Amino acid sequence: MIQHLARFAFILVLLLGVAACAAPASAPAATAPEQAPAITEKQTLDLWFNSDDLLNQYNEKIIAAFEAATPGIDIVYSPYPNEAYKTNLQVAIGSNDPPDIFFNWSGDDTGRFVREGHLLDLTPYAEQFGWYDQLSPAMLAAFTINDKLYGAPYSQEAKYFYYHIDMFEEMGLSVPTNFDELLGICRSVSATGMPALAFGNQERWEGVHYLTIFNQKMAGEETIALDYSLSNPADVLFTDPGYVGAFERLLAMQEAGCFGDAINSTTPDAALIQFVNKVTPMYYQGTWIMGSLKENGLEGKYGMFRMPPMTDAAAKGNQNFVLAGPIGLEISSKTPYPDAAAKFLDFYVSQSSQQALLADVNRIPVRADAVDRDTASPGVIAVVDDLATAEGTALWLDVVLENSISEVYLNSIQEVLAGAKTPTEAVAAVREQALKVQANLAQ
Amino acid sequence: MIDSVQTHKHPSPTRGARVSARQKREWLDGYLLVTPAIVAFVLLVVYPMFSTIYLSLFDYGLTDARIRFVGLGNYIELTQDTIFWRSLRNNLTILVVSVIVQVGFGLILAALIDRGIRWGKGIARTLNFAPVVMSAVAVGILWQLIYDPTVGLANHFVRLLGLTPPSQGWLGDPNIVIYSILVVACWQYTGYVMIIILAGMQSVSQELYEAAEIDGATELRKFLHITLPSIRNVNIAVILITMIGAIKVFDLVYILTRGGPANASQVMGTYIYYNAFTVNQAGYASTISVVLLGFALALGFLQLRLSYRPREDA
Repeated sequence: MIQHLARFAFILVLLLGVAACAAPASAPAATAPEQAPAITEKQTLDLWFNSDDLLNQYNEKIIAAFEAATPGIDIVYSPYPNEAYKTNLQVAIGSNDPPDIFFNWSGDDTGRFVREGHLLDLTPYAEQFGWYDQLSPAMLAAFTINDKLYGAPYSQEAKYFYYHIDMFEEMGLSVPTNFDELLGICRSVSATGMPALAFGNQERWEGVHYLTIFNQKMAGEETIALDYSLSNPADVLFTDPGYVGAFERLLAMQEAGCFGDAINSTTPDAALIQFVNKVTPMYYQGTWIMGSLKENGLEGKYGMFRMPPMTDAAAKGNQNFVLAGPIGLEISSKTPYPDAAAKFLDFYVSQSSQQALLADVNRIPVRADAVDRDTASPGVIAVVDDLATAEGTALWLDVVLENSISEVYLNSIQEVLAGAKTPTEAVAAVREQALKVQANLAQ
Repeated sequence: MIDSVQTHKHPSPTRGARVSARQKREWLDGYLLVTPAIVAFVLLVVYPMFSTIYLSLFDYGLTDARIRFVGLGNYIELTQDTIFWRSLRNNLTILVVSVIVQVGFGLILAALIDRGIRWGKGIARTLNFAPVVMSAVAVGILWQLIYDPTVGLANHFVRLLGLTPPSQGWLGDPNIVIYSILVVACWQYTGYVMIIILAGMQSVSQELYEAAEIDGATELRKFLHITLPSIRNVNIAVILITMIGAIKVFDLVYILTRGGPANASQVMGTYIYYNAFTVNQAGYASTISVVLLGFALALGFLQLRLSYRPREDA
């Protein structure tokens, strides 16, 4: 009897288990999926961010302020480190349950999501909230594809050489006015036994930033625009000698002693530590490190300058460009609460939030009325002023290019720096992949 | 079971029918008991396996709607993919070196702890096994610091020996990076191999050693003629566990180098990940997964064949 009861109980548990497994598939059919959520319903939005500790603190503060101001909306905040973020977002965005709001770069990272239909068109919200009057037109343009806005830019990131003012004074160095002078500084510093620049290319993106600005300066902005978008015909694609010249400039820096040994096995974090600890007098890095420099007590103790112009005849690009690009927040086309998500975006790019972004984490805001010159850090003021004088921006190469071409670039830079590939071989590899992608797109 | 034997010896329709009904109940009970495991196995192993094989015939990405049937196109592309061959070569390098070093050192350490040292056996066992209990992520980060070209202990140690550290760094030089990773893998897993072999050694009958001692056998002869033959199956098991681990390695490589520099340390596991999540070629990633599955199944089959011995009472 006991055996029969046990058997019956077991079968019951098994059937319940199978029913439980099957339930999620049938459950949505029982409800009305197209029904709009009731106004009184609590709206919960998933927010994913590529973020560091400093930015997390800021984000948590902004989210708390937003939730207090809009009681019907809850934000579930999920921050990720850089590499994990890229992977997780790829997986989530293709699923049925992507984050409602997420961080993204402009360029092809946004372009691909638009092509694949993952992003909500924000143009009506931009008009409703007045973003076109408040935010930088150039930053909005970076997230605009086919006249539609797909992201709310919240910060401008730009790349500069940071230098320790006291070390420069001790060594009798001055800010270079052209690329050859930069090489001269590298030679002087390396003669003392230390590398001139911190450089951590283990994750590959630091190297690609050099190539981004070198490509623009050597091949020229018109050429790279056509090649990066794969608009040039196959016989011309990535054949400009400026691309090889760009790699040669990187090697020229290496030969001049700009970089130390083992750059391909140094992480960006380790490179930052080297600069902060004055193991090197300079570091070519993005404006996102200004918060860390402030935290490490270096506020006012460092200077900044742009990648200096190339003066030789081979350099065909406008030499008054700066390596920069906006970052922003985007909304999934699958979100059940587009209005609430857009409301959060508007709050995130509001004057008060942008002022806090500048004050708390030293990030460059995308609206002019957020910069208070009396209270902002000297570094931020310098960047804002410099960006105003630039005649254009070169957007990060690994963000602009199609993924597989970008990967070839990233790897080729490591190989060229390791001496495993020549500049000509590197550009040939890039061209080969670009031709393959172009042919695939044409199919 | 005794009933069933008796049935064969004394066939009688009444008794046979009664036993048969009982047998049916036993079978039913048996099947019911294994049903949850079978359901889990089908859902979590069989279905994904066949799904991966099916998807390997398509060109598709995780984030886009494109899905195009390419037949064996991905497999043909794989044969011409230099990075795939490099990954495979790296896997085989890891496999060979891991078997030699991990099983070799594991065997020596186990022998020393079992019969070679008199005191401190517990400490020796704990110290050797400690890296095994650490997560691969923690081990990866720890060794990243050890290999760091500026502050790492590895460079410091090499300089103490009067040698010059590699100028491109332990993890930045394409020619040595895979060996740098192997050092970490061997450091972490030799203790694991040691513990399994040690367990095998401790189950060997002491009477055999005592008899050999009376015959005047040296420790080396006892090891070669008693210990090794007695733990044959254990050795086969650890060799195959190590080989399968080497074929499906992912975590350490991903944490330490992510397959770099410039794909020099790419292994099949990281190359699958790279294709699926970095360049959005999930179909191609499935193809590599199928190849990896083939290797793992072949090794599993080898394990079954080598460890199979007919029962003496059969």
